[in-house]
Amino acid sequence: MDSLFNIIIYGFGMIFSFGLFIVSLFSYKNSKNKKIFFVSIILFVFFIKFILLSTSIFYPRLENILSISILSIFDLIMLALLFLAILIKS
Amino acid sequence: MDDILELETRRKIYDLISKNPGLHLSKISELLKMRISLVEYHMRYLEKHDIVTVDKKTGFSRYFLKGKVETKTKHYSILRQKTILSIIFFLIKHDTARHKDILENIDCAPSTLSYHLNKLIKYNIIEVQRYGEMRGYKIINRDEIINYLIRYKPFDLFEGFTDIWTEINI
Repeated sequence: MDSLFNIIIYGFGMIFSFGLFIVSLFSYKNSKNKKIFFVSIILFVFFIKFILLSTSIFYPRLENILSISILSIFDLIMLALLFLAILIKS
Repeated sequence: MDDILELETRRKIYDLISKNPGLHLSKISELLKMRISLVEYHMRYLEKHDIVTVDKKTGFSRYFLKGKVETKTKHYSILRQKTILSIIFFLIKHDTARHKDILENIDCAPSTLSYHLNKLIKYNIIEVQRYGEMRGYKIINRDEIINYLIRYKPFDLFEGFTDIWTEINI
């Protein structure tokens, strides 16, 4: 039950982050705006995080590697990039 | 005014807004192939010197030439919103339509439709026509709206995405 819940959550997370990543890439292609470039990287990191989480369901060995601290690093990277995206002038 | 527009860049921006009133920063930057920060800098200069005016009613900064713009044209910028644009397209095709008919063809909740219709009435874009107990909605100046829609690009997903992030600043 717990595993099914994880599959659904990680699956949706992966699809949404990939969709938004594609939108951000096209937006960057059109605008060449540095802010959008950072947002694209954030969404890409998000996508990678969800890929790793989804994969860990099928490869338990990966689940051991993906500790809370490793996942926190991903979050920290995303927060730092978000901060840069807000800070940077277009 | 010529002194202020002496710089070629400013003249380019001025000419672009003159031809396309209601453009926003990212679009100007895209069309002129200039950095947004540079466009923003020039816009601030032009605004300070009363050459352009900014409209923030739609949530985004849209630029118009000062003195040349009618209030009505400014209001047309709400037509860039997807649902409103769909309503207008429907009314262009059907001349006069009831709330029920529009609702059947537009993907939104009845309350949202009423909200948008009231907004369009408030901005004098559409009017209510009564036939006995029935009420229909009609575009006031159909030709003008069609001309506006020919000149302006409707909502674009990627443009919208860029606008949202560009507006976030410290």
